[in-house]
Amino acid sequence: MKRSGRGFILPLNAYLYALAATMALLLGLFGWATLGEIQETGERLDRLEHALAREEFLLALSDTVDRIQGIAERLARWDEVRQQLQDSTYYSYWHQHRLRKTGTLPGFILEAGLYDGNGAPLARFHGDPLPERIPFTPNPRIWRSGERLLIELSHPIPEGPHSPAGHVVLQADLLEAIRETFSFSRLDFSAIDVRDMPEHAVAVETLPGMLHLRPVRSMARQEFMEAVEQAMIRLTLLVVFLALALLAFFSLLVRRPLTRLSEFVTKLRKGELSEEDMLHSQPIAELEAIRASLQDYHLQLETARLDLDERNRELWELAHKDPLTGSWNRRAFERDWKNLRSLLDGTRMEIAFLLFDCDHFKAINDSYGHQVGDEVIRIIASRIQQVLRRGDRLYRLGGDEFATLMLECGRECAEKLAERCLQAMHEEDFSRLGIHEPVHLSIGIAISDAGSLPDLSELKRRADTAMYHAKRPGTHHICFHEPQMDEDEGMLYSSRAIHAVQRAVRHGEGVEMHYQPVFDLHEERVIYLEALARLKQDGELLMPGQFLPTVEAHRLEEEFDQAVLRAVSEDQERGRFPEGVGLSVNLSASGLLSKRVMQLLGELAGIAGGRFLVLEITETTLITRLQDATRQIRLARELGYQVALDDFGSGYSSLRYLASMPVDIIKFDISMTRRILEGGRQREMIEGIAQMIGRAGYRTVAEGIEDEQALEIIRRAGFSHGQGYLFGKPARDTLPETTVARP
Amino acid sequence: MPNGLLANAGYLEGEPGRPAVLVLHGFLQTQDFPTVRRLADSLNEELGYPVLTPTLTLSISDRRSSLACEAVQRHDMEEAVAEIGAWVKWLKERGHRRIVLVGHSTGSVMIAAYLPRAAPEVKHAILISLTHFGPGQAVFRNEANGGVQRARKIMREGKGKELGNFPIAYCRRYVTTAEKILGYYTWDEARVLEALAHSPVPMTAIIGSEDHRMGTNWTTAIGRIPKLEMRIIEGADHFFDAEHEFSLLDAIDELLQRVTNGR
Repeated sequence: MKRSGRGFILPLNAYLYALAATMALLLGLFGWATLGEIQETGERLDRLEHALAREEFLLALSDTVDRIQGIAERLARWDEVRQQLQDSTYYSYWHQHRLRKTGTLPGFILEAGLYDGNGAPLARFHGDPLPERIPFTPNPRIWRSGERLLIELSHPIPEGPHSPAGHVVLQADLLEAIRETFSFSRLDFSAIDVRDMPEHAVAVETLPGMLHLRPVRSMARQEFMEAVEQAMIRLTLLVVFLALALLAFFSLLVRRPLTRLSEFVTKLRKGELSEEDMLHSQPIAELEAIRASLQDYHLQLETARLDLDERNRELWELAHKDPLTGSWNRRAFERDWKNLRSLLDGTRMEIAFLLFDCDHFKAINDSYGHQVGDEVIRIIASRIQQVLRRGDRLYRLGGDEFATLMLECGRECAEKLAERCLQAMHEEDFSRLGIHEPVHLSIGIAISDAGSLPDLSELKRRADTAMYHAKRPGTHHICFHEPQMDEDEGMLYSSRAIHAVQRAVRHGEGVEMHYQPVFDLHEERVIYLEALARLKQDGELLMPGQFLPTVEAHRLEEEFDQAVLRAVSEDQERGRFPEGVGLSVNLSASGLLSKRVMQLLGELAGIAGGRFLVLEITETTLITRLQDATRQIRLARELGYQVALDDFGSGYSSLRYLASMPVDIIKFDISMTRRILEGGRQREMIEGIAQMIGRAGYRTVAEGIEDEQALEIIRRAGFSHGQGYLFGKPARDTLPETTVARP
Repeated sequence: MPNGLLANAGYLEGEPGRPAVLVLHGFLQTQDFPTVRRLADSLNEELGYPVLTPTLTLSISDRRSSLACEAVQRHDMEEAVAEIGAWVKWLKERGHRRIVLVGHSTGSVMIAAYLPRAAPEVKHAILISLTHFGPGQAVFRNEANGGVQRARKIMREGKGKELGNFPIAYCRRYVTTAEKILGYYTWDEARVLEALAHSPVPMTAIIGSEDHRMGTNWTTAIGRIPKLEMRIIEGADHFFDAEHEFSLLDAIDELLQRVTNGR
């Protein structure tokens, strides 16, 4: 049984059984009621017949008593009776021969006698049953004598003018008298049993109450009752037959077809239809039409379903796959992550989350066009996919960012895979796309135990953090997330960093500028000081790695740049910089595009007193907003600033791209310096690049020069400038350092 | 009645000046015997005669029905004659000075027995189907004869008051005592003729030609009575049924007119 919004839904058989039960009940009730009616009618007829029989008996009794009375009365008027009363000399003869034997009296009169006016019999005979004297009460009276019911009455003979008074007494067989007197039609007279009657005399009126009267079962009534019973039996048989026929009809023409139709529909729904089911026709045309329609509908539905499945699959793929690369998209990633968490809940398994990012992809896109950019993305996806294990999925999370989740893969496994990815990318010949610069991937890896899987956002954050480190200049392109990173990363959101940044950008407080010299290798002197910001908070100095993420996270680069410029201007005004030494400030992309920053740059230039001024901008700053940046750089140049491209070689480092940039100074990333120092082909290549850039008129700065050996190598490599601990660490007090031509 | 019993009679008033007619029934009958009743009614209603129809008591007071042969018979001829006299007297007391006696069958015998002592007011006697109680009776001749002998024997045996069965008139088993039956038996042919012969009253005997009870000798013997006129109604039997009733009535009317006219 099912319950729907409209009540209980029962199977058809239940209705059939209910119908059968209801019909049986109705038939039973009908039969019971009809039998009851017949029985009641029979009982009514019985009562009526009893009443009529009793009435008939009463009438017969009355008539009979009247008749006997009449006989007595007639005797009383009889001349011979008067003759006997006059003179009873021959009474015995007369009684014997006239009264009893001449047919004067009917046969049921058993005894008759004459009594004189005093109540004495005219004569007494031997065994005379008549009373010895009269009167007697009740009169008439009845009693039982053996099998007979006797009635006795006396009738007075009035006194005549010349005749004495007297009495006639008659004794009669009452039932015989009734039988002779009356012809019964309703009373079964033969069934009257007098044995219940008393032997002492009682009044005749009490007789009906003492006798059990049985009515005559009239033939008409018996025939009527038999006819009714037979009619009832025939009717019952007919109704039962009709009911069975109805049930059979219902079962054959309604239930069975509907059941088969239902089974057909059920199989249809479950997809279990067999060939036979398809061909099996219904006996009812309408149902067959429905079945055929359902079958057609089923086929159409099946076709539609297949079509829909195909479309769903396409849609699903559209929804979950990246159309450009064929790899899974962010939605699929989030779904898989969710499924993975529920599947691996409680199990111990190492999971590696690898986040891939193409370095300087924006620059590639802008330099070589979107089609080339798309092809680079496709190649990246293809290479990574080739390296991944069978079953591992590659997700494109957006732009040039890819990710994969590797189960049962620890640090070593992840690192090996990451290396193979980098290697594959390294082996890829991008020159066929017209790209002559190397295309690098940075890979941030977060390893987690499946038993304690963090949220996706957390794992992604860890991988992001690792990626952030991997992309740092001078670092390896593969970086695992370390707890230490969380401390730095934690600064992103730490209240101390936020507080320090807010103080700096809102009130210009806590900004403490440190300066590191950039040494001119040809002139052997410090040519300018690079201003590096520190934030003082609670007596502690926060390094850029601790607060810049907060600045970037809160999109406060422009405001922070303004704070830095104000601090540098303040140091300038306070005369903290030696004469003849230039000054460089780092600007973010937002800062470069800011009018307010440009104003502050103008103000600094105004108070710098012809000091050599440099703006240091990262490759990313230039690449992401190249046109706007170019326009702003032009404005800065008009203000007297030269432009240094910072951290060259840590990222995109495209020479073609470099040529289009409005920069004057190229600062090689510390990783480039280390490769030079490591020697080999990389040194030669970097040296070639540096010399080529130098020849192109750019000043080149090598970062990370910490000793004389390095300085010599750099110098030989053709760099025009150097920066590093050898020339001076970033310090608040710049004067002693800057005055030293060489350490 | 002289016997102290109550007797019934019917009396129909007639036209003034007409003789009263006393019509007497036959053996054991009453005034309602059909022959008697029809005659009485016709005489009164059609002819205007005052008619008296007595019922002999037959020793039963207030007797109203005929008496069966088998009933206990306690009457005799004397009683009947006395009652006829009583009724004649009754008529006389009602002022009738001309009385005609009409008897039927044994009623005629009883009138015949009365006639010798008839009152002067009795002017005529009409004896219809006259008979007698002796052995000469046609129907029960033999039996009556035997009865007389047996009755006499009983009388000799001193049992005259015991009941017995005797044949008389039309009764085969007439229940009475020997004493009483002999009272009837003595009124045989001879005694009747003798009484008629001594009658002071003119008489008319009306006999049906088909009345064969008494035989032709009896008719002949009657016819010889000097004061008796004999009339034979052709075709009539003992009871003058059917159309003979009218013939009878015409004959009687004629006789009564004669009496009325004093002839």
